[in-house]
Amino acid sequence: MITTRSVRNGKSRRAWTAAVSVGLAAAAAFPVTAQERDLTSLSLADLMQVEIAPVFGASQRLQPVTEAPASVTIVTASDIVRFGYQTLGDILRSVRGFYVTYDRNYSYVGVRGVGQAGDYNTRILLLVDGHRMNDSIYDQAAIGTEAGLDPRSFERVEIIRGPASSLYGTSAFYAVVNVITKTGASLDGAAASVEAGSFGTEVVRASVGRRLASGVDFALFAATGNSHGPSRLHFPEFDDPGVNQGVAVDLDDDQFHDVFGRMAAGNLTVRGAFGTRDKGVPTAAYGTIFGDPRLRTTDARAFVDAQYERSIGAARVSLRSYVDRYRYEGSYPYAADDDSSTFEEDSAEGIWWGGDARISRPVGTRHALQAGIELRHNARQVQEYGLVGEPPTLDLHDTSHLVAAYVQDEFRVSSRLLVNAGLRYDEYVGFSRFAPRVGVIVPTSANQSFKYLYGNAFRAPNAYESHYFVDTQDNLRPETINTHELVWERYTSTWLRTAIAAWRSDVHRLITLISTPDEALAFVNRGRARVRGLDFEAELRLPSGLQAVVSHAAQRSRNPVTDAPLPNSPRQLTQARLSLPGPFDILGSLEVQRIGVRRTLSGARVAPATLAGLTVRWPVTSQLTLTGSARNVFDVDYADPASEEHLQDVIRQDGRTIRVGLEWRVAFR
Amino acid sequence: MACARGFLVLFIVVLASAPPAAAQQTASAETVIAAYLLNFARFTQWPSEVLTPAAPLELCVADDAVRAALERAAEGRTVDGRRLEVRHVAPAGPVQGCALLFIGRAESDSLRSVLSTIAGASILTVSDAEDFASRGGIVQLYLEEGRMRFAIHLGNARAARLTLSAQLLNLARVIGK
Repeated sequence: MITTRSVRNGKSRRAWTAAVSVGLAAAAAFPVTAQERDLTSLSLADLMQVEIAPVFGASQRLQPVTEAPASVTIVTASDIVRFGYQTLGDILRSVRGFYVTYDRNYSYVGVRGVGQAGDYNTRILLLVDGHRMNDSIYDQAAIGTEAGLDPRSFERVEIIRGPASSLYGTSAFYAVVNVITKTGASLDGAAASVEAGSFGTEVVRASVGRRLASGVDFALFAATGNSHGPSRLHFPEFDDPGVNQGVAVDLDDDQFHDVFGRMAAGNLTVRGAFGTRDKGVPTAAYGTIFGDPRLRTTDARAFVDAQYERSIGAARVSLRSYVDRYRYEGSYPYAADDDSSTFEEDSAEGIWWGGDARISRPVGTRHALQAGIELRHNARQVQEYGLVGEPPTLDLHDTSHLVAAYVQDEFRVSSRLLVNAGLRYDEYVGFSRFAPRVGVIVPTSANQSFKYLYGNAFRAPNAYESHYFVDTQDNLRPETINTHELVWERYTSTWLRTAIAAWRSDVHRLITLISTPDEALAFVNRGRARVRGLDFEAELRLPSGLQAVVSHAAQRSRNPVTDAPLPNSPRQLTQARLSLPGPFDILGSLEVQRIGVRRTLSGARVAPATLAGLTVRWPVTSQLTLTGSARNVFDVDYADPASEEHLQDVIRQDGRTIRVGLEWRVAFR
Repeated sequence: MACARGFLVLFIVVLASAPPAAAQQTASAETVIAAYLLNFARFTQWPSEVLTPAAPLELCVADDAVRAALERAAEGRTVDGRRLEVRHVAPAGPVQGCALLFIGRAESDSLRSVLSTIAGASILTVSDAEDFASRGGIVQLYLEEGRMRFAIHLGNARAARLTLSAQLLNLARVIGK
């Protein structure tokens, strides 16, 4: 299966030691100033380069991180460029408490110890500028190349841990990931880049944006890429002379195209996106014929969103309306009894539109109230299955809608005590829900705060769970989670930020796929999970230019009914990032992640893996930058647990890969 | 593994020979605003009849967090030989004697009344509230790419008879001539 365990462990341990010593050596190479570096001694020009970390998503208002009713991590555009993140999945891998699993088709994110492979990220809410990205069929938050999102268009990503259904409704179960895109003003120019890397990977990107004298602001981003993937992938589970000894040849290809644009004029901002990805799948998932190039999946996602925001007296009002489309196509070659094959296809299409209105207003001197309503109509939820080229045998056409209202108050009891309380009411066709959240925030100073947070969130069954296997499953209830959390955050002078969080979550009525007594498949509310954990993070930004982040998360997750640990739930997760300026303005950045022991679905042990990535950027001229990056620098042989749809227990991941690129940028000003 | 080790050694050597580069810091918004206010005070000239040579410079702040940060930042400092006095004001309260007035975005509802009250007075008004400049304010603070920047409305500065140094104007986004 995997190369002998001792070799793999040895390499992982050596990789970890090497990575830590690099970090320490690099830190030692730079003199650390003994005294605190005071902002007031900075020149005006340098002051303009200091990074601020506000939060927008946690309670939908711009507020300092220390006052947000959640435990938040922010990844900036500068981080994205420095560490060469190619997808949202790469970004999330670096976030405290998050880990990403890949099965050579989709990427699955685990948060705080819960991350079933094959679970299509239905329990995190993905927003782009506040626009919901989870689709209307599978509620999937796509984070890999299937996401249709190019990280180079992100101004920053706010990762808000914890339940947030009190503001957003369904899907905001474990976390909310809010992507804020760049404005034309921040682009202020045009840029293009090309990259080439291992496995015949090629990516081309272009962007242009500007804030015109008239005040109109526009920005446009486009990216297209393709990769052949490893040309030979060995899956020992399929070791048989009849299927090429379990070697999949040239079956892991990936092609994507995405476009994102935004235009703002006065109080109106219009955004539109289109993305598509076509993937060859080498794993013979879903019980298909091994080595058959016809196993492919295609995802396409598009939306147009118009938002109007203005102040009316003391209030801030926002109106939004949108229309979205999602399409999935999968083709599956199955073996037929008579040694021939049947070629089947699965497709789903969702079209939905909706709108929301929100008002926020200070009330008196101590309260900041927010209230909003949301309505969404799933005009088309189509799921079809059948033989390719023939009318579908399964042909589902559904519609549904939801209406919701929420209210939130931030009560500044005193300068040292804030209470943030919110409640949302959602009405679906089959059920209705209240989701409350309370946060008690004690900012002991402008730079330090303690928080106690309680949240109750839900996840409504999606169209696939409700209709696919059994015609109408009106008895499917939403899943629920209750989370209690304690957080301590502190900014120490201007160069050190630390945060510690402890949490406990109880999940009920997890929607699980089972085999019924009469050998059919059905979804039922059966699963339960209990997770407890502690995480820690320290971020360093020294005057010498060194930036580093270290985080560690420890957690225990169990199914309280069976007392078994959850599959794909690492007990320990460690992440570290280091960024150092070098000679000739070269910027070198190292990222190391260690995923602790995990269990597969069958209960087998997956060894810990230490993965290091290195990215170097060299601005050759003011307009041209050369980049080089390597992933899995130490060529560690590791695997991710597989899901129900695989015969394999684990899916081996790639060894060392490299990439080089050229970026060109011209400023308008 | 030997290849990886060689790679690492090269990385360390390359980086260890680097000269210290420009600071890349993170700070809370209030601390940055406070530092900006000191800089604006440094680069502004008030008409001589408004500010006598020995008078302290009164920095009036209508935002608790920023005021606390400014008190820390201004401690022991002088601008043009003048002592700095940080004063708390209620947003719509009396602002006589203020040389500089900062209004936080949370108080943006009282902007109209404040700005109309002080119209014509030589007060350097600064805020991070939206549309501050178009409503009569002089310095607008805003976020761009996670960094705080400032825009200056020259017309409003002129109406307040304030002279802003070229150093400030070169770095600002200039609006409203």
